[in-house]
Amino acid sequence: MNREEIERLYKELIIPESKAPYRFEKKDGTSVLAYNPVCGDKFKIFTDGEVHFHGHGCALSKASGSLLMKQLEQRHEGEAKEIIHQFVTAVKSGTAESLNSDSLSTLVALKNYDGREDCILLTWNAMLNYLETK
Amino acid sequence: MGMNKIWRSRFPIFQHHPELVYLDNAATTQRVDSVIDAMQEFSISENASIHRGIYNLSNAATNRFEDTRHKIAKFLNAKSGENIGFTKGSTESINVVAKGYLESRLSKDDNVVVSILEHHANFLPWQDVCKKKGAELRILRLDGDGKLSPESLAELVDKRTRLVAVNHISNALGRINPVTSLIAKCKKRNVPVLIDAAQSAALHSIDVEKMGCDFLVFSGHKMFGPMGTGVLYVGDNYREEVEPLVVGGGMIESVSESVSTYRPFPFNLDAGTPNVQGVLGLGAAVDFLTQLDKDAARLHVARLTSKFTQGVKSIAEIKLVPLFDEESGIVSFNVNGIHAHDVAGFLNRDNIAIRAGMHCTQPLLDELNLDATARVSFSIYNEEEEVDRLISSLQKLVDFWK
Repeated sequence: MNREEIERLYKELIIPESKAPYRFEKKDGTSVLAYNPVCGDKFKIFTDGEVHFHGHGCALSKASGSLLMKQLEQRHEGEAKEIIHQFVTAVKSGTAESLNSDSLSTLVALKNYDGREDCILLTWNAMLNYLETK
Repeated sequence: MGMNKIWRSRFPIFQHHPELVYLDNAATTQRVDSVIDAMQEFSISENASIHRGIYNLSNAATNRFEDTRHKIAKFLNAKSGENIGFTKGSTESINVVAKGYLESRLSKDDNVVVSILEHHANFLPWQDVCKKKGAELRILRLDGDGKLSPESLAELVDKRTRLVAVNHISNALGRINPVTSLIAKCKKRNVPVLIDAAQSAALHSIDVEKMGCDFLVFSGHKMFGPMGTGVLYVGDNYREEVEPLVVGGGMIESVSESVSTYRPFPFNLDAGTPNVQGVLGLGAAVDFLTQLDKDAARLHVARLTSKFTQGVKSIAEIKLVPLFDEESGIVSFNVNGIHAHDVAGFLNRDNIAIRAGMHCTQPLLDELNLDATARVSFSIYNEEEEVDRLISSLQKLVDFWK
């Protein structure tokens, strides 16, 4: 993927998604911290009722958090765990075949070009860890 | 050829990366050719362990290693090489003072003063020892005009203050601090002062006698030298009070089954086989800086800084953190609506290397209510055309992100 391609993906998905992230709102109750001490990106995921998130980070981590919120909508915990696990595996292996979402496939493509797995998986890993240890 | 071109020609990295615009000099500077040569020469024809060899190669290495202490003493206008300890960097140097000097002298209800501008390297060691000993860590904050004021420091320092630690230049913001006046306030109360000179050792002349500090630290890799090398200067009043963090071969006076004694500072920092190659590289960096016209170098860096800060005025989205001094060559900024990491990532695609994040200064960013900043830092090999490229890349980013 060349520079033009990555800029196209930013223009089409990452920038708009990060400018208007889904369910980006502080809530009361239980929260899960998604924090990368290396770069300082920090989000809280609020898990009571419909999942929300809030915080600060680069466009990629914020857009990815927004897509996580969309994926978790109306899902029970078992489904949520499975969806997140599938996406984390796809990003780590760099293969998007198992994913049925164009947006999520775009994140895998961006990882293959730019690295930045930590940005993409920040909120996803935090949520998975929460679901697996609660 | 202008001085800037001559300076630039001494840094081989730019022959290997002709397109690179390297503006992350506050994190690490590039390595000058004479440093590379000195280190390679040691590997090729001078390698031997120092201090204990009864043969020519070891004696020669020992002499060159010890001569470097004296060279650095001269560089800092310290009294003697015996005031100069070798470490692996500023971080270790500060830890030696915090744990090898201060900790055993610190009691409950004593206090240590640091400024809000400190890098974590000059914050965490003090926070750590204060916590262990029940002492108070006091923070010197910026005054209304965004500066550290000697008068405010004088108000914080009292008879229970055991040490004051402050940087010469803030790595995150590029503020040059009035260290001589700050130190003078502490001297009135006989409080020892540590100066973190990591950002100033390269281009700002340092005279420890004139400055009056008791401890001063810097790193080789921020002054065109190698990573893994650093200096701890200790003034005569405290030289015998600095104990090592690491013990072992090479730093002992005598060892028996029940009791051992160690050599005094600075030799007590050299347990094990020291980084001789690195120290010789550091010595070569000091030689380069001794010959460098530092006034011209600082003027050059200030011009680049000014060109950048003036140039970005035309981009409304760019907000400088206005707490810099041009001669530091360091400026932090943000671009409205675009996270600092995205700014750095976008510039990287134009081969422009800048830093983004918290710059190891989380308390400072909290104080300024900033999540992160983008930071450019100029050095002697940077050129005016590179500032033009930087500004045009930032304009492109702002247009792209709309």
